[in-house]
Amino acid sequence: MIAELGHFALILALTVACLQGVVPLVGAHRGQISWMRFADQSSVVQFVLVAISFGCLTYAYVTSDFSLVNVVQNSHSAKPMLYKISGVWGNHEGSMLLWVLILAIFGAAVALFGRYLPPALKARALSIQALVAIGFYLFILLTSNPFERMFPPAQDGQDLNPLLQDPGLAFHPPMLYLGYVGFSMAFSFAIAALIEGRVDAAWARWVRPWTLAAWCFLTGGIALGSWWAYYELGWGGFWFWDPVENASFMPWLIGTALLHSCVVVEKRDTMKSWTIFLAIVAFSFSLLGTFLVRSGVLTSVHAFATDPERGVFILILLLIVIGGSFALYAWRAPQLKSTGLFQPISREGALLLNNLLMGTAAGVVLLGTLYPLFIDAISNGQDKISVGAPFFNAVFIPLMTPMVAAMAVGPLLAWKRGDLARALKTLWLAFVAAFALAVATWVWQSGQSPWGIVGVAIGSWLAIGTLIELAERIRLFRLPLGQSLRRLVNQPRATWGMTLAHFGLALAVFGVTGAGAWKVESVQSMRPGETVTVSGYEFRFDGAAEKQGPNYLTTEARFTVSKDGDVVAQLFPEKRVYTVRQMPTTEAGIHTLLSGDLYAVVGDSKSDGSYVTRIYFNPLVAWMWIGSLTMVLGGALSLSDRRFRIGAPKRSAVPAGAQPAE
Amino acid sequence: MFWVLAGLMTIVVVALLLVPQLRGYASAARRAEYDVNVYKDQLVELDRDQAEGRIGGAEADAARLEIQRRLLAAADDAEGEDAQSAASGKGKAMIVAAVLTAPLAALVFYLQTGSPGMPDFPLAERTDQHNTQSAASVEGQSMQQLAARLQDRLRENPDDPRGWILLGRTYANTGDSRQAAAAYQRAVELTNRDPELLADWAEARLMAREGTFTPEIFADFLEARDKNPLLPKPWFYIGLDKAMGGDLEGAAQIWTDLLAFQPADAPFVAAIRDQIARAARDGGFDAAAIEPSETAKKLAEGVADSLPKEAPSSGESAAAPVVPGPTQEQVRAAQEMTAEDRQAFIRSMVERLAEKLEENPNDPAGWERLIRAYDVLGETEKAEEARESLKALQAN
Repeated sequence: MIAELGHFALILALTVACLQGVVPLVGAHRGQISWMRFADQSSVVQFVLVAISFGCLTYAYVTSDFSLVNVVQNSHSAKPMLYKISGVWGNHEGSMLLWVLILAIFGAAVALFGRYLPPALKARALSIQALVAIGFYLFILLTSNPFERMFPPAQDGQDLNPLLQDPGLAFHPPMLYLGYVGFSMAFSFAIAALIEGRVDAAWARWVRPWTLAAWCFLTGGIALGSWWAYYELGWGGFWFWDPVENASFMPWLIGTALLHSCVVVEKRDTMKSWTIFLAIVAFSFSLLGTFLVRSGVLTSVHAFATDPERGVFILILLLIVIGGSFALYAWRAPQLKSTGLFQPISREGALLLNNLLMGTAAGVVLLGTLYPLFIDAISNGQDKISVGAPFFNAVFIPLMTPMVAAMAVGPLLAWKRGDLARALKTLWLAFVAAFALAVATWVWQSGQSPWGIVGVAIGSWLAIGTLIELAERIRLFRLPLGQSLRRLVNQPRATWGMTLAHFGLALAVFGVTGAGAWKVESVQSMRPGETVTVSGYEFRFDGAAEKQGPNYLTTEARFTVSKDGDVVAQLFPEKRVYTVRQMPTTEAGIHTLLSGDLYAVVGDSKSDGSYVTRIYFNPLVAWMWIGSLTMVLGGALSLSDRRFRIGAPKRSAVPAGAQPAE
Repeated sequence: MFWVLAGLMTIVVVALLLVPQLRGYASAARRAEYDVNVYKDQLVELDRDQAEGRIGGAEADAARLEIQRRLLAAADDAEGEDAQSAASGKGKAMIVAAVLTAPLAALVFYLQTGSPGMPDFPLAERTDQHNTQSAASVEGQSMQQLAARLQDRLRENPDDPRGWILLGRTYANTGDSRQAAAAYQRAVELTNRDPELLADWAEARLMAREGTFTPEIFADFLEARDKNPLLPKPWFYIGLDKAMGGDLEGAAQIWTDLLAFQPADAPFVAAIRDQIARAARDGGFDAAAIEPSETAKKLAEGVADSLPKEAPSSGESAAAPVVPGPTQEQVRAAQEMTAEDRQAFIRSMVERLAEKLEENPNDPAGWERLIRAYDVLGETEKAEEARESLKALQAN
């Protein structure tokens, strides 16, 4: 009964969304306030209904109701409770339901907190939001229904893919989706602006925090995903330029561009049409990312064809949303006037450069991701090529290097007309430091890959450049120290956010460089008691023991790591076999140091009692996670800036007899 | 219940959507006024930027001019803006109609795609009488869960005979005769050797030993029968022991006695008659000639004073039994005694037989028994499979 209620609630949400997709739009066109305000109620109602539906599905998972096909396929009675719950969104159908839930949450949030928005803009944006939701509701209900029942119920489930039974991955999809769906907000407002043929001043103020929130979640989600890959897949790497990763990276790149161009719209009333374009692209990439991962098209184009119903639906949906919005853009964008003028060398110019580089990078990633699919499709499955790390490293790093180099300069340029020479002069210290560190690296690593040197150079340039910009802003050493500190404290949170995010990226650059260029790997077979030395750390293999987990069997090994005779850490890598799916997984044993991670993986045992072991020293990996966290923190800080909360204007007139409904 | 809740949900949705519409809204501020607010805020921000040197003096002046120009433009816009209109009566009617269609559309959609009224099947509450396909294994699984729960309860309250009886039955149903015997033993101890439980205990031990009698098992059946002669189970097994020892006539006598004092419509009567007929055929005597003993007649009249003395005819020391273990019919008959767990008990025996045949398929008689057993259970598919195996065996 509860499962059926969830199904019914979802259908009810669809019909409410249909109303919301029409009534407020018409109301805004006719200037009828009550029809516009209809969106406020319907958004909240939609949210409640989808939340009920999601709750019902969760209930089915928690109670192991194997009369739901979805539960049978993705759960098992012996699974730990955490993964019973995360199993709700750990599969195609459930993740789509999570998608619409987040969409509904955001819609309700706009309805409840968007009081200072012009009512027509708000009504139109919520209508667009509902139209997007309709597409998803129909997709779920017609092709991917998580509430499909079976009778008689199955005896037990088929378990969740063991790789997904991990705390890191339990929270990765929701974070990612919060990011993807966050861009739907920017998209809806962009379309609403296109319909109106004007971009209100409030528009940018409203779109920017949503973009910022989406960006924070997406950053966190991607970091969480690569952290998971790092410790779960057991290859010592964290980013594989895998299509699934790329699918989340492309919206991030465009989202980052959007974030910066929003600043220009907000402050300078220019680049409006470009920003709207980016908003559409960012959401298109989000949709593409969602569907690329979920449709199975990535494993093979032909998997797409085996499930034509789903595939065709996805294609049509993408065509309508992306094609429709670009058509609207082509028609309406020329009407958007910009009033702010600027010189090429200026803050605006620097942000534009950021946009161009980010956009190009996203384009490159898109090409590399889809190219194998095209080849596969054109050759009818005869030719399979894979585009991997060599391609991406070859094009991505040259694009990102000038990006990061410019990042240190941009914030030092003034709005409208900047002075590049003066900015560079201010950065002399960063230049000297970066050069010195690069030379030191070159001497130290003697003849390894040149990317290590490049990474250290641009990382330190950005880090020190960001600090110099902060020092400039508070006039450090030019004013008395106390006064400088007072300025430091009084900086608006948005500028703090910028500083932190840029500095975080610098840290991440170090992390990527360290783990990419100087990783030390050692594969050998070891008997208990034997030791191997990697990067000056002595790893002693103490042996392995069989253990029983809640739904898996595991071989847990123990390594004692010491340096110069002092014990540094003990590592407990595991090799698990999940009994239901008979699938092995590895759990790396990791000890994190600031200088790098001690990373051990245990493999198969041999007849002579030895085990295959892989030992890594991954330099500076922690910097990457710290850097990502710093970026998210910067975004969150900027989000909390009080300037985003400007009050709504007073109502001009209250008709006699009408009651304020809010 | 489902329709009540779905209806409630629908009513709440309609109310949330319609009530504010019918009450009406205050009109909002003019559009331009929203802009003006933002621009004013921007001017303040510009001053701050200038004070902190993020924008040059000349540029700040230019920017200020730009913002002021926008402010003026916004004010102009406000002049030309259409006033907002409140919804007309017709508009309200349209909204009401539209909102009321929504639940109807949802209902139609749901009836097309949903399974209205289908209950939930949370694992913890399932008994799976619905699932005929894999009933045996599912039943086994939920039985094991039941057993685990019972054991938890017994840990807290180990002196509750009812708990032990339930546990014994549960294990017997899953075919785990050893565990069943252990649970019944505890129940027997706690009830001062209650005859019915004594018989169950002996039966479980017999099953655990694959149908081989020991003197202890036999003695327990006798004790149970002495204590309560009206219990059918001890009679049946005492007869079975005789049959296995080769005394088919003696067995037929005991079973005839059993039938004499049992109601004619007892569920196991037909099966016992079968047994007697089979014994008569195998032993070459006339079953109809066997008369119930005096004791049985007295039992039937409710006035039994003494019971015939029986001695074990087979046991550990006995030579190879003539009848190799209980046949399916015998087991079935046995299980009719306690109607509630007969089904599962049969299954456990059948499963054991099927396992044996898998290990040693060269046993046509075994296959025939299995086929019959499956037919009895109504598992036609499995019976068909067994027939195929038998055919293949005979073809060789």
